Amino acid sequence: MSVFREVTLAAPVAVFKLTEDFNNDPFPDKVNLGVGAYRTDESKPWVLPVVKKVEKIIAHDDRLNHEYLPILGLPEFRSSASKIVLGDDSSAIQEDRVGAVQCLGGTGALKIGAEFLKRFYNGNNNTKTPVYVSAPTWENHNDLFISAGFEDIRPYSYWDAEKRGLDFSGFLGNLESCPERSIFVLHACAHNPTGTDPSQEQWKQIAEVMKRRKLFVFFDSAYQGFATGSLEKDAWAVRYFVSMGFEMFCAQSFSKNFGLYNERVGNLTIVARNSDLLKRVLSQMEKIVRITWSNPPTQGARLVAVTLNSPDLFAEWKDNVRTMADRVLLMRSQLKAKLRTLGTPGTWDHITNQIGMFSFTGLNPKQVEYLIKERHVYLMASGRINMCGLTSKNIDYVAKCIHEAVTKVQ
Amino acid sequence: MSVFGEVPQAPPVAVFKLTADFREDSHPVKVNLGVGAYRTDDCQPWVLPVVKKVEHLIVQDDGLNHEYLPILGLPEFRSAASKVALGDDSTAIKENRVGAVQALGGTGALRIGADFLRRWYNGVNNTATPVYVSAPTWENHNGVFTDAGFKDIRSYHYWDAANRGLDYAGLLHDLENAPEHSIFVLHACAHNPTGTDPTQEEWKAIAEVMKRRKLFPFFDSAYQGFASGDLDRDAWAIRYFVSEGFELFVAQSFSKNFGLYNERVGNLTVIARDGDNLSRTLSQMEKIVRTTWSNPPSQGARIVSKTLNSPELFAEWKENVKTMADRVLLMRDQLKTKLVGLGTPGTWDHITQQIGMFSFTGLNSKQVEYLIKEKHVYLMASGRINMCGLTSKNMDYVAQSIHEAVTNVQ
Repeated sequence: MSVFREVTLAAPVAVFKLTEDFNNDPFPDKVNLGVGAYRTDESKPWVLPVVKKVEKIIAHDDRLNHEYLPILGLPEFRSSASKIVLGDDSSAIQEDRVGAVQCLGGTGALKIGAEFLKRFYNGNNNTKTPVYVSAPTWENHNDLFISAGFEDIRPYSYWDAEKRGLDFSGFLGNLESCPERSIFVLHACAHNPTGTDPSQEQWKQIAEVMKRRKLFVFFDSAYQGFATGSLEKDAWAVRYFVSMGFEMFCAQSFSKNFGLYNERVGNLTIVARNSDLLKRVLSQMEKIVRITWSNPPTQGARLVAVTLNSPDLFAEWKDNVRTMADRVLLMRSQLKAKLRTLGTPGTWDHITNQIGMFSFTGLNPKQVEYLIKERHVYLMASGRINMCGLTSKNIDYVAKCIHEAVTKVQ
Repeated sequence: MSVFGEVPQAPPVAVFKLTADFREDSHPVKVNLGVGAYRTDDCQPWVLPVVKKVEHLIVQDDGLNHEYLPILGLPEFRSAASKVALGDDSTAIKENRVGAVQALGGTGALRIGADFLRRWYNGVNNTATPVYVSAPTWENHNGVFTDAGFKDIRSYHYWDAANRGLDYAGLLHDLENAPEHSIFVLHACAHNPTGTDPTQEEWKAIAEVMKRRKLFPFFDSAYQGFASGDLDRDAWAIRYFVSEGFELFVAQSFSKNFGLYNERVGNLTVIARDGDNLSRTLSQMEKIVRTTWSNPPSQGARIVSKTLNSPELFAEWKENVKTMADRVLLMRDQLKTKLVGLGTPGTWDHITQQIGMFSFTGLNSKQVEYLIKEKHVYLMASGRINMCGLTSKNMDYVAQSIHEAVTNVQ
């Protein structure tokens, strides 16, 4: 009799199951538009040239060793990562009220932030504080906050399927009517999965309501630089909120913009009213980190820190980021053009209006199923496609398949 | 008004505070016998030569990229790591009932194991199952299991201060009287902080009681190879339990035996009755990992995997491990000799009888305070010293200081 006999089989994580099915598919022209990782025009993973360069530098630096990092992580990584999102001229940084926790990717940053908020926000261990995530959102947000102990995860209106854009009035409505002090998970840019961001004017309105109603701002920033190609542009919303005096968290991921997916490079940036509060917050973050992973892994943080802290390498990195962002923009432009040419029913402006890695095509589950089963084009059930999965070689095939899905399947 | 206004300042983790104090101390002959990391005879951190070699191999390998690892980690790392603990000839492995989760160091492995057990062991979400940790134990055990949700963390008798050895009768008594199905955290070898392990005969008796009373063995294996210098010897207890048919967990750390402290290389080895129970268990582990760090970091796992899977590198690694273990044994021998030579009151056999990195000196907290404040010799309040902090250069000073502490302070 096994002690594990009551353990049920868990469903696999959808996005990884999709890739697994794709890998097992023998069809020669199969296309994977699922998991969010950059691909070159040859459909290959891309190790950024600047990363390859810095890896060699690190491997040959005999002054480096493998001693434990501090619990909060590599100091030069934490500060440069926070600076990247808040800006070189950030007054909050100058005022010593910005801190950070090096974490295991964006997931780890969200996790540590959630664990902290559960313990100390809006009372002690107030697991009833509502946490709002966008409808739709990254599929892991919900479970992550639940596993941290929050009991009340709610959606806020976001995607308007009819007009294929932001449901701004719905969004504002939720902000106005939710309980005060609710936590809101906001996508800093390149919303996943819709690729649809509020405009600057809309962000200003969102901030006004959030400030008035004392809502907590928790930014998820996984695509800085990747969305428009400009680090500053992609951080505009985060910086605006800081300039409006919010205390807030920003979970940063360097998986995509550094292509360092598997080294788990993340940073939880914390903005507090003053440095004393910040100090107390960080001391509690240490306790949470200690019983989760003790202290973080070095390799990825070193790579990012060395790059961000060297003017030449930093410039080279920005170039590499632009390369990725530009290829995505090109694929967006071409896909829309081809669908137009094919006369595919519907409007396809959203393909180029949306930004970042993903496009929310508007395809329904039946059409998605058709694409996967009949045409061997793999995408998420929500209709989300990863633009990076498109190449000059497969874009005709994909466009044609989408055309068929829309015309044949309702 | 800050949302962080009520957040209290947390006390620092003792072992890191000790090192911080040590760093700030300007005394020229200060000695750090605190945190558990290996030091050379020059008191320097040591990057294992085989690690340096493999790091170069990895950085030169253009076939490698940074794509996400599977949620459970690098497959060749997981299997090689489990094999190191269970042995090349392990029947459990041949029977396909051994699995693993690559985790963030030993801490991460304990954490994932604890999170799983709380959800699925002894009923669903049975937070009342008692978890027993040794008295004393690694200071982080309690926090990890508590944060995983267990409400009843108890200690089992372990250290006999009067006899400076294992309180074997007390241990057995606690095993006999623990509620059935209780979880026991066992140190596989080189007990932290006492350096005192059960003998093989004692382990056999422990296993007999645990089997009869349906207690769950959760091994913490952070020092395999480091304790005796022999990987198989240090894994004897684990292998014995497996051969006795237990289902169990082993939280393995490669921080110490690979000197890869800051790359967070750990493995949770899972032994189940059969492959079906194993796969359901692993599927639930995936869900837990997904909301904690999503998927693990690559660098450290690659280094360990490459090493373990190559006969030459594996042999070289074993040599490097033996180098570390031998230096520790030498320091133990010399310290005892010097204390005996000085005529320091008490018996000092425990210094050479204890194994692994640590020695539980038996010094009381007043004597410890004296050593730190007056002699600038830093050690844990429990009287635990890290033998690696001793060198041929500071040995006399430390022995003399201990002598003074014992004779001057009661």
